[in-house]
Amino acid sequence: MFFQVDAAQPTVQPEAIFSIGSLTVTNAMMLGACITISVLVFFFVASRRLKLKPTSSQSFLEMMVEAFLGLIEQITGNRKAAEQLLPLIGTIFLFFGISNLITLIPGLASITYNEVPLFRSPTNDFNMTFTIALGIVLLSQVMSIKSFGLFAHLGKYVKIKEVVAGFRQGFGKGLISIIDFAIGLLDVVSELAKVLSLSLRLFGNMYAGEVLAAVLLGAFAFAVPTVWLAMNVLVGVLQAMVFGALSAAYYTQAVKQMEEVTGEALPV
Amino acid sequence: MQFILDTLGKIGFEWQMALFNLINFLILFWILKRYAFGPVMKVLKQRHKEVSDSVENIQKAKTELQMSQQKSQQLIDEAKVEANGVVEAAHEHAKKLSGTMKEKAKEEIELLISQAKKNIDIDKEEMREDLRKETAQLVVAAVEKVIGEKFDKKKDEAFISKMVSSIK
Repeated sequence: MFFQVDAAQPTVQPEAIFSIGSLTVTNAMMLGACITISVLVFFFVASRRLKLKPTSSQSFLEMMVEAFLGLIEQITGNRKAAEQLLPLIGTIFLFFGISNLITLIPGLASITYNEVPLFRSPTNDFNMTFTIALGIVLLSQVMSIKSFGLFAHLGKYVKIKEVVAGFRQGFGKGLISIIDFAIGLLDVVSELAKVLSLSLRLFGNMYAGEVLAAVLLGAFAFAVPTVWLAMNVLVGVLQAMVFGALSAAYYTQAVKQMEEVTGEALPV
Repeated sequence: MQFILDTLGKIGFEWQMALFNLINFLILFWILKRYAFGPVMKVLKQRHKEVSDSVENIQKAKTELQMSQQKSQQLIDEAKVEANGVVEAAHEHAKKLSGTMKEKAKEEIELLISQAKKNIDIDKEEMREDLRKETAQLVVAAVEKVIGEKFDKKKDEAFISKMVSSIK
């Protein structure tokens, strides 16, 4: 049919563009680096013109920061903690938001090098989502160790103390403490699952979006892909927000008990 | 561990790419912290401080205005009370003064009237004396004509005094 277009199905792995020694530079890495450079230039210029009486561009920047701050504050429930977490979670919002939306720019995917698309969304690369998710979970673990101490932190997962104390109180309580012990071990799995769920959710959504866009483009070249791309704008923003919000929630969850114990704000 | 890496490798995980992505993200994090979120938060806080300072100053000015209004009202009230006192005192003084003046004027008038009366009495007496004298002279002149004899000074005076005493 005339309105069907042959669209190549995206691969799970990003395509290699060139190599520097043993490092293979992929199209996702290319776009990731381009986004970082653009953001660097934009904010370097914008931050030099910040005034107390804002211009329209500064107002936009401030609105964005306030929106991020509001969202983080809703998760942490503390303004000071939200201000401290803002650089980390704000970076996730911004970088993943731009990454999710940038490939929707018409024509960007058509730029090729040796018949390989030169740009691919960094969030459409499992390496990126997995690394950041792993980083977030590790960071929350490190902060938990920092606040509770290594043994107290390990005690959250290996509850031997509770088992001993339970059996001292009686056989029944001892049995219940064994269940607690098993739950503690399951928490280790839950921590690992956090990494996978966080990274695969974003990667899966972005990858599936591209696959579906290619399928729709193959079946109905006009109208339907347009609607799909419009919906992808919403999905892109939403997925970036979900990743950032969950990162903030995991972090807050890990150090919240510390805050309750010491009364100090969240460390970043 | 190898199993995990193999499984992750099937969905495209490669540690070198992951490391590159991590470094890329950390650079972005540093840039945004230094050039975006840090300065914007600083400006927001500065503005927030200025706004709260301004609101505080307005509140302070309002309180001061209210206080000065109260103070001025108090001064006005005090001035009114004082003015009323002064006016009342003036009224009292004026009343007293007018009373004294009236008394004085009355006294003066009475004095004038009594003096005038005295003068009138003196004038009356003088007139009466003159009239008597003239009447006596007329009588003498008439008697002289009737008797045809000229009275000498001695007779004349004796006659006049006789006449005057008879007229009295």
